[in-house]
Amino acid sequence: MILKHELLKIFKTPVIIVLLLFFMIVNLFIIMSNFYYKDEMAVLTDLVDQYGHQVDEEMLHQFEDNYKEKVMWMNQIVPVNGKVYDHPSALLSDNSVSLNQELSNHQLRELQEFYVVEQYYRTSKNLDERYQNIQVNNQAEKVIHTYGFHGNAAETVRNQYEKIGERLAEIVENEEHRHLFFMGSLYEMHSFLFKDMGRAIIFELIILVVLITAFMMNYEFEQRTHLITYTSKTGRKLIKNKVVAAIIANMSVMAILIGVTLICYFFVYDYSGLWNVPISSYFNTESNFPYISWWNLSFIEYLGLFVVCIVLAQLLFMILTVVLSIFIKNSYIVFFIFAIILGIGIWMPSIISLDQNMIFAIHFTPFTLILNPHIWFMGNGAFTFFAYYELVTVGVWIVILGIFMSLSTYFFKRQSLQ
Amino acid sequence: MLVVNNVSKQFGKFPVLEDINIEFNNGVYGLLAPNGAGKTTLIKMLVTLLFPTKGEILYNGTEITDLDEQYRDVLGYLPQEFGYYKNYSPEKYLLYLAALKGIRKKQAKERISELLRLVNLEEVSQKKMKKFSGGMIQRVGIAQAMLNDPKILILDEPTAGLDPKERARLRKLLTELARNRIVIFSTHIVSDVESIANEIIMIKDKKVLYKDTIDNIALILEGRVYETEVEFSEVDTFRKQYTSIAEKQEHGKMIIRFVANGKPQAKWKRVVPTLEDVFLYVYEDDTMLDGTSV
Repeated sequence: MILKHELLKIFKTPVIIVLLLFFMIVNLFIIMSNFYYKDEMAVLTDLVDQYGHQVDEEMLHQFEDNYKEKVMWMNQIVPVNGKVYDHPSALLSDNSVSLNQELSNHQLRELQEFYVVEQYYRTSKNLDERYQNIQVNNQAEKVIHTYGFHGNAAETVRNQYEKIGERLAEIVENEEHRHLFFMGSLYEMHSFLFKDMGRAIIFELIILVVLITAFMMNYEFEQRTHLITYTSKTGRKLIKNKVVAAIIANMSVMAILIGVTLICYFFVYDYSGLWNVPISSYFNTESNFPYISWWNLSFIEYLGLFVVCIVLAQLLFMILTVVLSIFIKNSYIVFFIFAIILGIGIWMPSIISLDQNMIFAIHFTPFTLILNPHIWFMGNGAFTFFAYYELVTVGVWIVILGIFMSLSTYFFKRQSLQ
Repeated sequence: MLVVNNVSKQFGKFPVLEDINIEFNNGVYGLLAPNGAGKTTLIKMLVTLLFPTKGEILYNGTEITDLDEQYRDVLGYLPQEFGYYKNYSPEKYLLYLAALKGIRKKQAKERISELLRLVNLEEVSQKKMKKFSGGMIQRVGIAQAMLNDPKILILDEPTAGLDPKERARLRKLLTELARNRIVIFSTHIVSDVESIANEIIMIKDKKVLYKDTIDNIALILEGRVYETEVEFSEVDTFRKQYTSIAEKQEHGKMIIRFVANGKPQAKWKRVVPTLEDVFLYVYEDDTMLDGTSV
């Protein structure tokens, strides 16, 4: 009964509902910002329908046969004087042929789709060669040089990249890299989903979670009803109900925002047939160094862990807000102080020397955790490439904030309420 | 029995109450003092919103903080500033407060309907409180304080915002309620308590000045309160000589009610002192009853 009333207070707060709707619309706009890739991306879905996503000998053989047939078709429809093209890219880059005039719209579209197929075909053929060229040590030195690590910190980067190298060897052995996926170098869909969308969701949720929690905890003080509610039989134990209500309200808001955003995302971008593709697939690679997950995770498993990590990070922010609300009896000031703490948390690593391992330790906070969601559970990046980085960060901070929360609720029991 | 035992309260280094000792048994207690004397601080300690810096508050021999919810279960409290949810109806708000007071929903509904009838809000029980007058809100406050049929009912300035008719109604209601419980009624308006309080507690200079029946407190000025007619031209001189309690103009002269400690003059008319005389004498002039100035 008490819980129901507490929840109603939040879900009837207009600012929360308006913000939730606003964020959903913002996310829809972000989703649509890559809409022009949609048709091209559908080519992969057809390929996966036809061959499956695993790139093995049998698949390559079949793929090659069909590709060569298509090359023949291409050379037949193009009216050139005896010239034979091996790949659609060669034809498309030949300025002497005016394809717009010579081909029908349908043929032109088919040719362009074939060009996309070529990218998958040629990458599939060269996978092993590309992996032979990946030099993990060089990557370590590149990271050291780019960020200016030296001393112990540089040594840690080298050691860590050794471990990443071992994992890379395991990926090659498991053939985790040999799976078709949206071409990262063309579409950067991993970054789009897990970085652009991910960061948007994370920061939107921070705003909602902090506001909901602060509103919930300070509701009685802001309505001036605290003198009545905290002298009732339930008394100050009411904050337990408020914390539970805040958890339920925050979880609901997270479920709605993450759920609606992901449903819209996967409605627009068709991932059918790709759910079980390992996240470390070479096709996912967006730079010259592939994404290397510490464990063999499929796309759907990675997405699940990604959502869990977002939820846990938000719960940490919720606990921090509960602690702040016990000492500050105004929701907007709590929000403001939280923003300052978040800012300090993000800024702190920039003042730490790059020759000490402290630079890595300082990144084990929820404030830095949320900055690079696209490399969670991966040996990528320069500061957060540890295998259990996410687990340790969340675990340690649950303990730290849990202690703070216990102390502050104990303090609240004896706090003067004016 | 509720006992305040050697209680002092400081805010930082600033003392608000010092060595307060009061015993409350069933009946109506009027906590009478001007604003800022520490009434609300004392009440907030009685309802566990504040905690004494020194001393203890006992209910039936046990510290109220140790009794925790067992104590708050028998407590009804109307704060000076009664907060409410503007978009709630009285019924909905009281249902929420009933839940906080551990009353089951079915039982709460019956009790709420009974109380809203008692405070004459039955017809607006479903209306949003944002449209209510100050008096109506105050009556909701009284209803919520009575929800759990408390053994200790503490009302901090409950007559604020009430019109004379509503004040009279409240006094009548409190007299009925006081039979089997402790009612502590804080006010700075003498007429609010003089007809209903069994005992008056007056606080001055951070301490309890009096805790006695109205008659006994009034006796303190016995034989020292007079009324007389004074020419307007002599009023200022008169005020300097005697402690004026009340003044009114009648037939072109000033009629002054005053306290005099010396031998009375022939034209002075001795009157029976009231609680209000004592209140005004004690607080308005900052004068102690032995005639010395503080």
